[in-house]
Amino acid sequence: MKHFLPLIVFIIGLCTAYPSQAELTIDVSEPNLQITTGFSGDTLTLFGTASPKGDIVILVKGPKNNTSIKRKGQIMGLWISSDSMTFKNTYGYYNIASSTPIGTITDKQTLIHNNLGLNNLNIQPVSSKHPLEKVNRFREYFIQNMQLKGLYSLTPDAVTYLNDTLFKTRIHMPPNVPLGQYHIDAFLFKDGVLIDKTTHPFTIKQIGLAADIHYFSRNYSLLYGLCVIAIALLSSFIAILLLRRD
Amino acid sequence: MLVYLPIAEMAVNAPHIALLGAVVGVISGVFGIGGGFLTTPFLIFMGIPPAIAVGTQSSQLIASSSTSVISHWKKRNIDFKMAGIMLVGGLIGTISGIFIFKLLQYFGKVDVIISVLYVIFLCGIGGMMLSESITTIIQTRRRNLSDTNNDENTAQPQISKWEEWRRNLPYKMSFPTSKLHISALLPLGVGVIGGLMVSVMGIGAGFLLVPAMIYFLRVPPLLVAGTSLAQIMVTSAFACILHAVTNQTVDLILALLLISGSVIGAQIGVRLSQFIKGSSARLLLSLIILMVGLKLAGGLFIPPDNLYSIISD
Repeated sequence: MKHFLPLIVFIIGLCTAYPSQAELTIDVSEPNLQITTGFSGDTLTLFGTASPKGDIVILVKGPKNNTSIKRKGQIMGLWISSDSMTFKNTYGYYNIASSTPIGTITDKQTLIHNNLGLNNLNIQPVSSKHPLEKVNRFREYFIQNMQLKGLYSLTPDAVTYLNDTLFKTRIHMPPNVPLGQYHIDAFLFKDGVLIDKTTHPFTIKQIGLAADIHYFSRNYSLLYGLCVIAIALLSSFIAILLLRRD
Repeated sequence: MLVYLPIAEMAVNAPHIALLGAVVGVISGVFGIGGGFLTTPFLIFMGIPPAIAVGTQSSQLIASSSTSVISHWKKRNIDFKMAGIMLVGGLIGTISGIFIFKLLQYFGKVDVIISVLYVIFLCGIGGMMLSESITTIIQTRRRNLSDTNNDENTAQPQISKWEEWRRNLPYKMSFPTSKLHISALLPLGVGVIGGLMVSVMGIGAGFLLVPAMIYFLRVPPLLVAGTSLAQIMVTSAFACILHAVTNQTVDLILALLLISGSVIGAQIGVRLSQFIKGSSARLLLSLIILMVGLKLAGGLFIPPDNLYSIISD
């Protein structure tokens, strides 16, 4: 042990002597979000440490899916869906919390490179035939719609430092939050330069009755259908018995 | 109070859904129509994915129609023979409708054809029923006022060609409950057209069945609601199984919420139907049909606030 002591002292000394050796760690209050039939949205608390103290950006990304959007147009005087577009691999959930507005933290190029910011997301249609102007209009609608549903959001000043290294933030999950695999990416910027980055996986899944019903409907669908019918008939019998006029 | 739906994978406000079920139940009990025209758009409005709204709504139809069917049955207000024949026609219509839909899809622009047809159809039926029920109401009021037998009204002025044709159709059958002796082809035909509507236009047949039974088959008004609901009950059970097996879009929790409201609503509706006169019930139903028709027409002609919508994800 005696031999190691100088080494340990040396390492500690190294760490403190070179503050450019950036360190960023994060952890969430719940390792996984478990959804029961009583779920009505949830707020996660995220803690982290950053050294040196810098600008923090926390990005929570939900499962990817293709999204189809249609647009109505006038045909022979009638308003009918006339145009559609499918975007590939769009995030089902996308939430950015930062210590200051992300536009002021670093340059556009770095933001785009790291998928940061609603306008810097790489949302592309499946088919490459659509003209750029049309893609932009559909993309704008898609982002607005997701914001309206509370699934895409951007909150500056949501990350607060508790002391020189410890910071915390809250992440809101709305009641319609999609299930699946999430990633929490944390970025540490100092003077506009990204100095450290870390990722924390996270899942949202159903448990208990909700999960059982989901499983039953997928794996025994005929029986499930019959059960629904039986329940429907049974409840009408009960209603008649209860509301009977004698 | 929010409740999480395991199949729709989202939380909804439980009392709102139950209230929706209750309103639809009342309408269904009074008029003998399913009420899907109300449930589906409202569920979609509440943010439930369209496929799940349609799939789950079928289970609610089973509950509300069976409640009404049992109540009507106790009052002997159902012609089961008529309902059975219409059901056979309905199945034939539904299956052939699927092929017609495929054919229309092949030619393209199905949406346009279907929306326009549906608007014309609803407004036509609604308008006809409205004018008929108003005339009847005015006539009965006049008759009550003058209190004399007006021979002009009772002497049927037109034994038209249509009446001739109706009487000469083969396969005559007697329907003791309805006190009718008509060709079996008539209820079968009504069923086929109803089934075609369901699979081509994707909206329930109650709108069509009820007016057709009143004017075309001349089923006594008291029997119309029960008989149409008996048919709707069986068709909905069939649809529920299909949705559960092929698309897995029936949400049990959502169904329970809707059902809890609709079984109570349906009971109230059946009781109300005893107090509403045939002509007034037809007047109300025609107004509902017209309203839905005009709403759809509005969607076609008025520029929408939001041109875009998300189809799937």
